[in-house]
Order: sequence, then structure tokens, then C-alpha cells
Amino acid sequence: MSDRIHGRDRLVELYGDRAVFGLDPEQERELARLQGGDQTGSWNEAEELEQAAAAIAMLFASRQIQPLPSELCARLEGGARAYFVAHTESARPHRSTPVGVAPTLAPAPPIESPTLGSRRLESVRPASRWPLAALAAAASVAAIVGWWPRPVETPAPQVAVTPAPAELRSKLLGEAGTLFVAAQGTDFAKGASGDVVWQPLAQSGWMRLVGLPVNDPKVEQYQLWIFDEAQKHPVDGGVFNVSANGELLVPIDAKLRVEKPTLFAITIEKPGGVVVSDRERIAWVAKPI
Amino acid sequence: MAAGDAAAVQECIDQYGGLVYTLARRMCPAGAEVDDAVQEVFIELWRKAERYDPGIAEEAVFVAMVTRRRLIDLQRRLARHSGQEELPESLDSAGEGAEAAVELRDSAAVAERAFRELRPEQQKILRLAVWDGLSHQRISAVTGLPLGTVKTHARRGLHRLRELLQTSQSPASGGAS
Repeated sequence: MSDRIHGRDRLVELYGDRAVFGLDPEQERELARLQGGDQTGSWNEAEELEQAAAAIAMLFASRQIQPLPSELCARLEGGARAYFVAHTESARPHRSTPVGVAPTLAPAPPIESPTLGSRRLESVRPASRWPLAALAAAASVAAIVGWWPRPVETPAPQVAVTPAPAELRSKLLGEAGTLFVAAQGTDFAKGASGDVVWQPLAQSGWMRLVGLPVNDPKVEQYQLWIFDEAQKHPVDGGVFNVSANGELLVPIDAKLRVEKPTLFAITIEKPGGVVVSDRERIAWVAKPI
Repeated sequence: MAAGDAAAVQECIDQYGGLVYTLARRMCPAGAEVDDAVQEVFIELWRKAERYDPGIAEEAVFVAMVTRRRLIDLQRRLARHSGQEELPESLDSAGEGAEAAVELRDSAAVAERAFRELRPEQQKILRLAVWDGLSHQRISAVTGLPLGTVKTHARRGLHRLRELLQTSQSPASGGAS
């Protein structure tokens, strides 16, 4: 019994040290060992201690806030768009509903354990003055992506580009330094065309795909690759599906920073995409001049 | 609703961009791009937004916590550890009396009240560790306090601060104002 109490005390002590100083590898191992034998739910205390340390950081930071540079602000907005669009499909409740233009990108990362203690969220109605709370109040991520491409609920013979992504693309096109590259299909997508719009500062962009064949996501998916002069291997630009004929806009979701793109290429890969492509089935390319 | 959520995303960037950027500039290890770190933090915020509970923590504290986690991860990845710490500009309570940025004023006031209730040595050590990023060994050298005393002040101070913040967050206290 006393060993258990002692172990718990030490565990909480380590949680505090971790929140303030960080732990060295030996302490990390000790923490893992103690956590393994802990039946008291002390992880909640770890969260609260971490919050206390964060409150100190917030307090001192608030006295000397440095404004966000406008270029970075634009990049964050682009990142938010890409994130929520990429999570549209995984959050959408009716997967069988015919989908118009909304592309499906790579699946969402696994859900992690709750981060703010064991109490549940339902009982608290967030105040609207807090934007993060407003986001938390959303029924699902799908509600947020109404901001971006929204699926067409009824079958349409002609697939039109919805205003949101088109406007975003136009806005990006109007920014200084934005790259515009014409694209064409290969033998795997004869007759396909389109273009790429890429904003290096914002690290965001759009592909406009015209005539790329509809794919069966259970069999294969499209994957974008960005060849960068500064990198040995091409950068993964996101996995997506073409779910309707016609023209569609797909946000580029570069997994790494791209310095100077030399080629945008879409390959056909197994469902979920690949880490390294064998480049055997290149369907569409856009090469900057 | 969608429009409101989109606005919330924009407001998050507007309201907390400066906080995240300031912390990133402060904590970002050598060799890492501050802008990339800020981008990583915001993606993490989008991921965690649905699990944010305003009944448990001030929103700005939650944002700061997510930011610290990502930056500490980054520090580990780039393996920048002890021996490269720089001393803070002053060991006095730097910035004391400075006005908090408008968008963080309420949250900062709550934290300030709680922090000021700690003993002076606890305040000093927690500030050196959390804000200036000094290890306990370095704090011991700088303050002349024994290593064990540094750790004791830090632990007791942090636990006390946790209690004070919980009290300020409880419904009976009326929450943040």
C-alpha cells in the first residue's frame, strides 16, 4: 500500500517536472514504468499541471505579443482550408451520397486521447466569444467544410465548380509570386488537361483537373507529387479521388515545404497512396517553364 | 452555421496567431523554421478543436498548451538540449507591469492573479523555467539555490498554480471575466 502511494507521489512529481523542465531519457523510462502500474487515473493531473505551465507561458507571452506576419497569416489560412477540405470525406456521414466536385483526400490522422482531462464536453456550452469553443461546438468537421467545396446532393450531368474553391483559387492567382502551370494527361488519362496554381509563400495551391477519369477508391487512388529542386525525392501532395466527370478543383496538400517546384505529377496508386511511388502510372503532369 | 465556423477559424488565427507566433519565436530550436512550427501548431489546433472544453481551461491556455507541446516535440526532434541555454535579459520579473495584448487580456488577467499568489521564489523559478527555458541545473547556478530547492519550489509552485486556476475556472467563481 505504502509503495503504491509512494509510486503515485513520484508519478505526480514527474508530471510536474515534465511540465516545467522536461524529462531526461532516464526519467522518461521511470515515468513510463510508473504509469504502467498506476490505477489511480493520475494522467488527469498531468494534464492539469501542463495547463498550469502553459498558463505561465501564455501570461508572459501576452506582455510582448508579436503580430503574425501577413505572409504567415495567409499561409495559415491556406493550411486551414487544406486541412478541413482534406477531412471532409472522413467526417461526412453519408458516404453513399452522390458526390459532385468535392475531392476526397488522404484520411484523417487517428484520433488521440482526450487532451483536457477526463471530464466530457457535452455539459459545457461554449461561449461564442471564444472562436475555438465555437469550433468545438460544431457538430463535426463536416460543418466547417461548408466553407469550402460542398457535395452536390443530386446527380448532375455537368459538374460545375462550386464558388468557394474557385474563388479561393482566383484569389491565390491574384497574389504576387503565384505560379501558374498548364497541365496535360498522359496515356493513362488521354485528353485530360488542367493546370496548377501554386503560391510559394503560402505553400498552398490548387489543381484544376479536366477530364481525369473517375477512379474506384477501393481499387486505386490518385496521388499528387511535387518535384522540388531543393529535394532529392518528390514531395507527397495528397491522395484524392475523382468522383465525377468534368472539371474539378483539388487543393494541394504538400506534406513538406516546397522551395522550387520543377514538376507536378499525378500518379495512380493503391488505395491510401504510397510513400514512394514507382512512377509506373503517371496520369497527368504540369511542368513549370 | 458553416459561415460561423469559417469565421471561427479566421478568428482563431486572428486571436491566437500572435500568441502562437510569440511562443514559437521564443521556443523554436535552432535549425527549425518558426513559420513551419506555427503552421504545425495550427494544424494541431484544428485537430483538437472538437475536444476543447471551455469548462476546464481558458482558451488561450489551451492554445498555449498545444503550442508548447509541439515546440517541445520539435526541440526533441532537433535534439537541442542543455548547454545551449541563454540567460534571460534580466532576472527581474521581465515585463512586469506590461499590458497584455488586447485579445489575451482576460485570460492573461486570470493567469496573472493566480501567478501573483505564488511565493516570490516560486514565481521566479517557474518563470525562469517556463518562459526563459532554463534547466533546473542552470537555474540553480543562476540563483545560487541548491538543485533540490529549485525543484521543490517549481513543483510546489506549479501545484499551487493548478489549484488557483481550477478555482478561477469553476462555475462558482464566475469564470473568467
